[in-house]
Amino acid sequence: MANIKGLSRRQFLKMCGVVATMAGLSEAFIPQIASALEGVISGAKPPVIWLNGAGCTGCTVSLANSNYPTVAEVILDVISLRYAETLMAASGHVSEKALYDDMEKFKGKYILVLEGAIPTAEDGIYLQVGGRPFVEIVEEAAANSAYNVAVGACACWGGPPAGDPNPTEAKGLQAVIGGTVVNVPGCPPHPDWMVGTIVNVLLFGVPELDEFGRPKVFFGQKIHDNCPRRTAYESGLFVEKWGSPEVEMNYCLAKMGCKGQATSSDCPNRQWNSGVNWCIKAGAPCAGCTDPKFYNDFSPLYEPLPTIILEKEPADKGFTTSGVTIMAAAAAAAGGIAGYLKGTKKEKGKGGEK
Amino acid sequence: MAQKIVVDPMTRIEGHLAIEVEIENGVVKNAWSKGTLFRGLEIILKDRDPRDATIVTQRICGVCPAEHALASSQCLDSAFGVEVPDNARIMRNLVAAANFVQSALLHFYHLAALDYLDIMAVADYAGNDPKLLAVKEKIVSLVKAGDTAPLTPRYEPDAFSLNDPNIVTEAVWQYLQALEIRKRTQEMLAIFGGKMPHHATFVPGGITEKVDAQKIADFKSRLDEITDFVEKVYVPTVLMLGTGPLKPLHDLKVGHGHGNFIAYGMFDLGKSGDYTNRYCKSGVITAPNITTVEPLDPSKIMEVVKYSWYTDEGGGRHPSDGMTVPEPKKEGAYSFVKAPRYDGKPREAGALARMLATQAPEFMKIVTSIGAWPSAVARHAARAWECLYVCKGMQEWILQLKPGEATCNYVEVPETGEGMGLVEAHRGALGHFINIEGGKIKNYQCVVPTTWNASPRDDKEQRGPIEEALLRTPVPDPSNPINVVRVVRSFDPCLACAVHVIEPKTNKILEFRIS
Repeated sequence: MANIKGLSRRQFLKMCGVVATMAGLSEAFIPQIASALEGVISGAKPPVIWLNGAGCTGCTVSLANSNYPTVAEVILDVISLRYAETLMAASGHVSEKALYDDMEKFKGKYILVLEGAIPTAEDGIYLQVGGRPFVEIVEEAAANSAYNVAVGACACWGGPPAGDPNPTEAKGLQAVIGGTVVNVPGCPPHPDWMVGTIVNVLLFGVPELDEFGRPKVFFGQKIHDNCPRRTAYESGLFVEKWGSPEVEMNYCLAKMGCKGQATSSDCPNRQWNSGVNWCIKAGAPCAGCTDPKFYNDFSPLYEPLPTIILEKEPADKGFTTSGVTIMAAAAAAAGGIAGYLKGTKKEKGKGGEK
Repeated sequence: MAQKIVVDPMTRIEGHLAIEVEIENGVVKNAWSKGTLFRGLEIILKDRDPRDATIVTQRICGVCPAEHALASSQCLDSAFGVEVPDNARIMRNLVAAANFVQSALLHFYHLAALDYLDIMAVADYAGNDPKLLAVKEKIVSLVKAGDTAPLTPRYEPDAFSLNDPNIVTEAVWQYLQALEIRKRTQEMLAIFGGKMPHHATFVPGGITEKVDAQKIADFKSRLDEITDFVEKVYVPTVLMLGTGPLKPLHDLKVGHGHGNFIAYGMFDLGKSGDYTNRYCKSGVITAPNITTVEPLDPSKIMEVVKYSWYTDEGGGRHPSDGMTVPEPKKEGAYSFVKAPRYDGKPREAGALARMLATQAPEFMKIVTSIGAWPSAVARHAARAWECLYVCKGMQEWILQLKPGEATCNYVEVPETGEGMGLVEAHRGALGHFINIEGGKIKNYQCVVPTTWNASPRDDKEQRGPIEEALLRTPVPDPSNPINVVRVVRSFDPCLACAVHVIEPKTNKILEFRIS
């Protein structure tokens, strides 16, 4: 295996290490990855059919920000991208033919990736591709796929276009096709989440998922738990207005609408765009984009959720009162959020739970 | 005999578009542009906290969210009655400018280039440049493995396609380089935007992020690298192609269109939101004179829905008093896109419109040298030249930031208010309009670039700009309409953007003050 597809042994092992990182595995898995990857790389690349529904293409743009591996490596070395409207050379009848031919040719073998929601109102009339309602195309593609992956808030649960009154009855992939769907949420998802999940699926099948169908490796922890502003929160120090020195002093953004207490992802550690920044670091409240409640049930985005605990007294009072107050508040916070996440029923309507 | 062909889906664009053309004697005789997706984000915004608009409207388009955020922020600033500190004006310019550069690179290299390159010519590369040999090895290995997706299948190359192995291999190398540089533009943007796509920091009155010396340095180092690529690689390549191998397409006026343009202008130099004082200027141009620029008067904008899947009460309406009732089974209609007109005329929006409105002498020299008329090739040239112009702008602005000084004037949501934000997305003129009542959004509306460009016919049967630009396009082989997609893509359509609506199921007329 001196040279697989132009990769030297050294480059190949580096790539295995990268894949381990991507898939959230320890380096101990490198031999297994090497053997799986060798199969993939020396044999036929696994076919992927990427459909775009009612979305904004932001997920594809985010995918293009992938560093290790780069998007070119993913597309040319790792997968065989059979259909992807934003990237493929073909148009019109040539691309349509490719879609239907490949769904037949790779029956039961391809990974179906959906970006964007599926409008279902009036038999799917609000999105037609090649003259057909998109919902039909998705159902057909999902009937013969090996795995189904939803990327982005829209494909997972409907996302922004499914906000009340959901004019097009936009739905996520799982709600339309049922069965197991790997959800990679975010608006858009971090490129690592997408590449890592797809690589994991093609090497080892469906990764361990949480109750919302998300890979635990990326979405296993609350943003709040790893937030650099957490200390300020514990001390009851909150930002009250934009443009105040408290933003820079890393005070907590909960009162400005931060949804980090109710949202799970590894953003605080992974950060965005090659690690240059991320929302909370930039002084902006987390919009909760990796949670099923995004966008509708987290609106208004710049107001705190009622379930978010703001009872912390300022540090100069809080800490002197007693540690017990803090502990109790923290416990209440934990309990409240846990209850919240189990799906405490809310009133249907705009403006979240206020 | 005329033959009708349909290109659906129109790929390598943002969103969902179908193009229908009628071909007679090997050229396009008639054309229809059809937006086939409707999402209704403005309906969803109704009755919400106005501040949500900046986050939600970015989701209109994942390629140009920064510009939507800017339009939305200026719209909210005016509705909330707040002035923006200088630092915030500059940071917002930098965020949007970084996205201009990413859009230009993405469009030319990753969306449009495949229309012009016979990529398989790479296999015949006979030179010994190591970087190009690596490209050749990659493509050859895909061919050998019998799996060249997504580079094939494709429309077959034609007489205009580039097949010189040196040029094509160099172009593919640039394609791969541009992926990296484009990524760098998004990192640069995230320095002040938090993350990208869909950044997080624009709020009424300014921006949540701070200015410090480290951020300026981080931005500047990336900007230098990006400017270098744009100046030494992207612009020379586009100009070389436009004055050389692709000149015949320009000479044939493929993609000409009406020759009417509209630009709202971009990158505030004085007061935030003042469209008369911008780095890329605002203005209106009417055929046949492309050097006469009239000042923009937003009250002359009308939207017509005769051929759109919305209920029509006849005539046109100003967007500020727009009425949109979806009627997807309407007889005779063929698109979810409305038909905006300025002074009764369809207008092209985008980089060519902006650069003609700006009338920068260097750009006008290029225009004169290749032939002073619009075309698919001219649009690529305008985009490339503007990209460098914007990089140079950023080089100045980044040094105008003042570390430690204010980046936001905090403001509460008003009970009532109206606002307007007119800016440019990379694809062209972008307007956001808001009306606030009881502290909530009563009406929010966006009139986006692709609504201008991909619009259907109006009540006077005037075609939209893309439809008009398709006329006389040579299509010798109707099963291989490669020139059709070249023309359509030269507008960089962004359909998720174009399809929008407000006020469903009511006929409320809302007042906006257009100053």
